Amino acid sequence: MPVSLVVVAASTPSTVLRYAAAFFLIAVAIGLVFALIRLGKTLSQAERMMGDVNNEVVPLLKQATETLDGVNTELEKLDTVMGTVVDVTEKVDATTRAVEAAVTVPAKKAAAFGAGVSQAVSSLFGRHERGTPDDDFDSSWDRDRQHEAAPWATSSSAADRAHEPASEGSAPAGPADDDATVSDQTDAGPAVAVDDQESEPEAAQPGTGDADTSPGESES
Amino acid sequence: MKLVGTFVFGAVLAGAGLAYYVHERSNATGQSYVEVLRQFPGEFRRTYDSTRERALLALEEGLKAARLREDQVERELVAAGGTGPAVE
Repeated sequence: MPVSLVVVAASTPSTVLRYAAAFFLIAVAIGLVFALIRLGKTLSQAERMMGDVNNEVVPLLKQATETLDGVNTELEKLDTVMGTVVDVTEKVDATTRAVEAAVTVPAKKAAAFGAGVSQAVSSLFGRHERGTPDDDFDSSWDRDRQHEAAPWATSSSAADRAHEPASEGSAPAGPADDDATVSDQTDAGPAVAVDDQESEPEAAQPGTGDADTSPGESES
Repeated sequence: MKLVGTFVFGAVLAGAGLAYYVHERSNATGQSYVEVLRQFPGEFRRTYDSTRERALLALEEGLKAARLREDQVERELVAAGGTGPAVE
């Protein structure tokens, strides 16, 4: 029997274990080396990537910073412009209020004055044209003329006055009063004559004060 | 001298106006100038009274219309968004 086999046979349990442990350790070492090599490659790729990112992002950040600075500058200018606009708006508002206060009252007064003058003029002349009891003084001259030219027509005034209140009929009869109650006689000769016949008894009453004026003044 | 000239000028104008009035009235009525002149004061007085009465009435109506118009304008201003009487 050879010696090696004897040695192996003599040391079988411990030797097998030792070989197995050696084999295991060798395998673990090989695995660790492989893992470490892969890890090194990954780390080197990450380092390169970080370098690339660093080289590209920094200029971008610088540009962004410059852009933000420009935007801030423009915003400051816009803020100034807005402040100016607000000031201008306030001034315009104050000016508008002042102008309104200065224009409204005179405009109101002018409108009221115009309306008042218009109403007064229309009232003054419109009333005269419409005809009031004492408006037409021109006709009084015609009445005076008829009173002088046609004495028979004066009885018409006596007839008219007979229908008037006693206070008016008792007024003193003068040259200016003859035309106060005379109706339109310019175009009513026969008609007035009819009125004369009807009103002669009333006109002859002594209280009227005009009964004595028809014959007396007409003759004079 | 200037005052005397003014008086003379006014008197001439008044006389001319009176002459024109007497002439026109005489033509219109057929009365003589003397009669027209005799009735002139009464006519003048009545015309003056009537005109004064009508003028006073017209003044009252004008003031009333002015007040109404002012109120109307004020209401229009307030309705239009104006300040209205607060400005005063």
